[in-house]
Amino acid sequence: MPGYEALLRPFTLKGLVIRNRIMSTAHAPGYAEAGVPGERYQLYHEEKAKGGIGLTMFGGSSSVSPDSPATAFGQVAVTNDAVIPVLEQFAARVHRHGAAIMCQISHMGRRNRWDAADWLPLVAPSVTREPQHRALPKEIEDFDITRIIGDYARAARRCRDGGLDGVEVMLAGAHLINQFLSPKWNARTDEYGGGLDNRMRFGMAVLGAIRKEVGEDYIVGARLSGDELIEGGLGQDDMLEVARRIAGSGLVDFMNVMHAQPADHIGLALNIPNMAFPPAPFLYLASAIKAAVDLPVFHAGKIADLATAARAIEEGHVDLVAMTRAHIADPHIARKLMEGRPEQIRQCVGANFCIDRLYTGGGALCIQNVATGRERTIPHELPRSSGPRKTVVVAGAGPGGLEAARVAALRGHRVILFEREARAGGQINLAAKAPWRDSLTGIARWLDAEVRRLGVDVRLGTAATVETIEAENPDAVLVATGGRPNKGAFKGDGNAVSTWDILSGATQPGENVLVFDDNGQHQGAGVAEHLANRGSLVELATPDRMVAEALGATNFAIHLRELHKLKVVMSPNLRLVEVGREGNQLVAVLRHEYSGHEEERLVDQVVAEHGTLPVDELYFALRPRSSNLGEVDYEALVEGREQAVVNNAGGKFKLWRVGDAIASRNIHAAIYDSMRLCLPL
Amino acid sequence: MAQYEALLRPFRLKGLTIRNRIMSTAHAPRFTEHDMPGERYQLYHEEKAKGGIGLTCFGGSSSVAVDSPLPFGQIDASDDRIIPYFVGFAERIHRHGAKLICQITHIGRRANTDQHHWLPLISPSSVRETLHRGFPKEAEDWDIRRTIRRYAQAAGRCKAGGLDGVEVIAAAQHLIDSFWSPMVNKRTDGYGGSLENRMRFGLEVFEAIRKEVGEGYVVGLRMSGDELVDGGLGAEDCVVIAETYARSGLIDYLNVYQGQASNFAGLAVILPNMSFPPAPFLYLASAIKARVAIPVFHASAIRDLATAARAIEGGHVDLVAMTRGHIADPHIARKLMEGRPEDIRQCVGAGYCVDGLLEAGTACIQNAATGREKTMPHVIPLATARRKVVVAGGGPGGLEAARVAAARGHRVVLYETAERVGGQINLAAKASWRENLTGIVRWLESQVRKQGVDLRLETSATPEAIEAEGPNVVIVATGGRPWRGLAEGSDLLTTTWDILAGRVAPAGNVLLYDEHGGHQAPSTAEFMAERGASVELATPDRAPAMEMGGSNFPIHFRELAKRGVVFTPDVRLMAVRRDHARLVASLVNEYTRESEERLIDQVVVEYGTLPEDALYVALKERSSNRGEVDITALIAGRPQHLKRNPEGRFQLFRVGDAVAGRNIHAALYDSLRLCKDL
Repeated sequence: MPGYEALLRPFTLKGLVIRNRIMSTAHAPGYAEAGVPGERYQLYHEEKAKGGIGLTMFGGSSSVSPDSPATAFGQVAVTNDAVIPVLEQFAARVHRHGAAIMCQISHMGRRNRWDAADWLPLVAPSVTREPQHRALPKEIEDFDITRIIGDYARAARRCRDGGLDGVEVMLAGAHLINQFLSPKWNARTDEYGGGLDNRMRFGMAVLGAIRKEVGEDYIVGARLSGDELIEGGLGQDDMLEVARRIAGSGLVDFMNVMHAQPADHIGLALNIPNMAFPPAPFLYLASAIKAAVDLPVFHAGKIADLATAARAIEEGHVDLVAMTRAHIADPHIARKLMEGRPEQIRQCVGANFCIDRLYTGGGALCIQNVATGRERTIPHELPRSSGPRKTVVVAGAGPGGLEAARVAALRGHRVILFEREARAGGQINLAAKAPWRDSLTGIARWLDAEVRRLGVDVRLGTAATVETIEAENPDAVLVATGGRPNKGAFKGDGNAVSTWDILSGATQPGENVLVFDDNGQHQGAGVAEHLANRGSLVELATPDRMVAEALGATNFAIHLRELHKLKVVMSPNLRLVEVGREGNQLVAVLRHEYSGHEEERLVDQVVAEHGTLPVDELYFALRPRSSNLGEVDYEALVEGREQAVVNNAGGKFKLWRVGDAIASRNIHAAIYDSMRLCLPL
Repeated sequence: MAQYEALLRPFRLKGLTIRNRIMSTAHAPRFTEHDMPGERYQLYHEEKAKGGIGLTCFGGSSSVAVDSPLPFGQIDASDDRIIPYFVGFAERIHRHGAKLICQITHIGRRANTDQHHWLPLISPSSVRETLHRGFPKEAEDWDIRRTIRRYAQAAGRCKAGGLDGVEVIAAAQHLIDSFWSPMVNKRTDGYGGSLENRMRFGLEVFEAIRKEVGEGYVVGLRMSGDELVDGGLGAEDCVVIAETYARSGLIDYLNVYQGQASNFAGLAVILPNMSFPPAPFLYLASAIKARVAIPVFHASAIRDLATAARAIEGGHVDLVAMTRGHIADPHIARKLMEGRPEDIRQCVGAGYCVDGLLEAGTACIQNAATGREKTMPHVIPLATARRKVVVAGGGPGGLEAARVAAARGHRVVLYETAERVGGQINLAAKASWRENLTGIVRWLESQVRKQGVDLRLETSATPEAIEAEGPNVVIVATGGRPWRGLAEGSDLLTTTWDILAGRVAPAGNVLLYDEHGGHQAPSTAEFMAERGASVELATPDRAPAMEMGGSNFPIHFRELAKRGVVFTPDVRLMAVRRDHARLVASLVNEYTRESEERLIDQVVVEYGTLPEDALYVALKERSSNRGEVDITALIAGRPQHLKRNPEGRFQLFRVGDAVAGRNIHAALYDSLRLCKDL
């Protein structure tokens, strides 16, 4: 593909030939089981190798010591030799497909919890609390330093003995080495604190011990920040000096440059930039380090598209370009590029559903690609069905309906997709109207393009009816009619408008507005920002303990930044119980969730958000005519078997609902419903 | 023990003879491995059986179906994979003479959909449960049929696994009680509307279960005696439901709960913490007992033997559940039978176990062996050689070190600078509803004294005094001191300790800044507001009390709101300066970095503690291990043998906040781990 050739040039890293310039940086998808990267974890990376990636790094923040518990993000533990055979298996799996594989190792220091795993005290150069994990460490002692340096070296040796192509040491990310390095967190007065030499001493000792343990030939890299971007932290000039000194030591073979310092929530949001950021916002930091050192430089940071990635290589900013979240959305980037079909790459939209799940209690999953992390049961390349060609009718072209049509078409079936509106996308089109959320449309754009490429009969502006559906003689009907806004249950709900009314423009913003969010996701916060941007004075009330409670840090921090900037008043712990009219205004009654105390607001507009209610009329009209009466065999669904329920001998088609037409959930749930039902079709 | 003898009378439940009246109700301690109750889970219950309990129920909210997720780390009883685990579990419990029953449920809407199998939640109607946030679908006819079958199959697995019975939960907003509740059930078909209709689904479940397990098998129902929320089921509704189900002949006992728990305020009601009096909801069980002819059980803040015995003696219930009581001490019945009830470590209601904060599984604030039975003993064995152990500091960590070392048979000297033991617990207990915390100290102190520890109050441990004792082991448990943080003008700050200790009086307008998230700051805010201060509680966290779970923070939030305390999250204290007689505090927003100021009379701060480590540092070079802990040995439960200094004549260890500001459990666990192998 002209324009992208730079990406496909091989790269030699100290004797290791990497087949192209595309990599994925180490991260912790939360798939490790008690610190062991088992089958799920390995299959996830193997898919990238199959997809043509040059280098895949795994094991973000892999733990070198027991007092760095591998539980915070479900990391890998490389704390003892039992991991070596697992690494061997992992390496073989990735090498089989021609990709290189490395592991990152680290001691997280205070960036952890002591009330996890073995309940050991955390260590840090000085006693300061990390805002994110909220734990107080002990000031590291001389014997801890000796022990941990040895632990790093042994962990690196295990990576070498496990057949990995290299090891990367985390010098950033607010981990232990970073805690020593940063004057913000290191208040020591001994030889490990004070001047830069002293603050670098621990990290250099680690790198020295690793080099001694693994030998000259083994690849050892350093991941460091190009600018901590915090007051009192290390600035760009400081980091250039650190990079020069590390490069000058001759101890490392590459530098992987990141940015920011994720000690607090907003720092994490900068560290893992979501769709509020432009493409490659921090490439300049890697570029500056590349100019300052004579070592290969890698970089990740919201590089989601091939044009940006190719520019990063072509213009010499970096040697390898990392598309980490991009591979979560599509692990076959390089292969699709090599095969001349880059338009088929499912591009990451920066929703950060993947990373935020780690902070809300689950393994990483992609908002738009439900096969990621589920490679054992869901293939990324869908095979054609060996059975007879079926006719599949899908009602509704939101994400659930589009995915159903896509999967059914890939299986080789004849597919008709009805959409009442003039364009596909459903609620995504609405959600994308909120400030900084417009990239969401990329999900619908790709699905729409695939559905058309696969020859689905897309009927826009056409609502599906029982008659039009039956006229197609379908074998299966999927009802993906989505939801309608739910304002929730309070007295006088007719006096309130929905977030949909505001985002769609159906209702003009009021002057004084109360937004009541009883959902906790993007909707309430996004609408409050939308209103405030248009000049409304906004109070955002919620019965939750905090605004946007259901979101993870890389998203809620951006909402909080915007809401605070826009002077939106945030009122947690309050439930809307009544909205009444008073003259031209509204009186909203809010009840405290804990004390029961009631207070009132006199406002011009009340906007209420409580998810959606299913649009299920079509489903219930079709139900008596279907062979399964709408029933889903959940055991079969979970096990990936075909649906075989027969409840009505007279029924001529199978009928299923997906997505919000069942219950208010999210994009991933809708797509996953469709994939699971249509894959065995 | 005459006054408690009612507790030791056997009880006949259908064909089952339960050896006494003491039980533990089903709960989910998060000990499952791959959703199964493995060794850790079983050992936890086996300890109660060893400790003499009559009946231990396990498997709180065990799932009957693939669309009933496992938000509390519950057992998955939805397929036959569970049966061999039940078989092993039953053998283990029966070996010690106790009975065991598993609880099963379809959790309905009480979950979120973005986990487990990602299947839609079901509920009688599309009404969301606030606590778990998932929007359910309205159960269809086929969901109802399917779910009834799954209940019966799961009950069949309990029987096939050799358990003594099965309990179905219809409380706390699981599926069956969601059908009962008019708040949630808006249906217009045969399952909604009248109470008779709303009770139908549950009765169909029990019919199917009874058909599956037969007449002889014990089947119980756990239900609320009063949902205690506007629009929910009241006490009389619940009595009627209880009567109907009891009369159906389908069930053999009722286990009566309280509340509804569909939001955090409600969760704090079903898991009453130390702010509640003992047995606050026994009256609900008693009311149901008066109206039904089947046995009635009840749990809830029944922490002491007197209350438990009264519940039986007074005929309020047939079995009395001391569930958290057994988390604190699994040997309650045995100690009672052996005539030493004063040795029972009584639950103080801290709620640390149920707060759900610990990913690694529940832990007791005061008993570090609970849930760690594989490596930590509940009964400390004697050591083979007698040694001399000196402990510096009589807070929880020091007391536990002394207790365990003495139980090992060692000679123990315990120094405490204050006039009484307890350390920071004495301070924490001064807050409005936290006084029960002192129970932790009272028990430890009584054990230490009983075992003959040489307790030296008002005596500072100096290196010289310690060395004069010729110790083999020195444990430094000197605790912490309040940290004043990194803001400029820290000399102008008052600490929460100053306020709680009464050294500084609350003054006018107060900014209370919390960079910790535990009880300290909310407790102090309540303490100050009660004394007339106007308090703003500011924190860089997203909300106050982020380190607390659902049995504690709702109580703080209620008390703080009642007292008009203003919450200001998302700000960091940067500087404090004088402005005439008042103070100006500069706060910076965590997200925008914008500054704002407050003109106030007092700035009170909570940053956790810094270690009191001067003694440790002074002793370090004189010790044989230079203070180093062999972490690998510690984790494996092996003795410490590090030699770093040939001149050293004793081993030296630090525990608790003298290492780093943590909590009571961490201090006790440090001490138990180090001293059990001494």
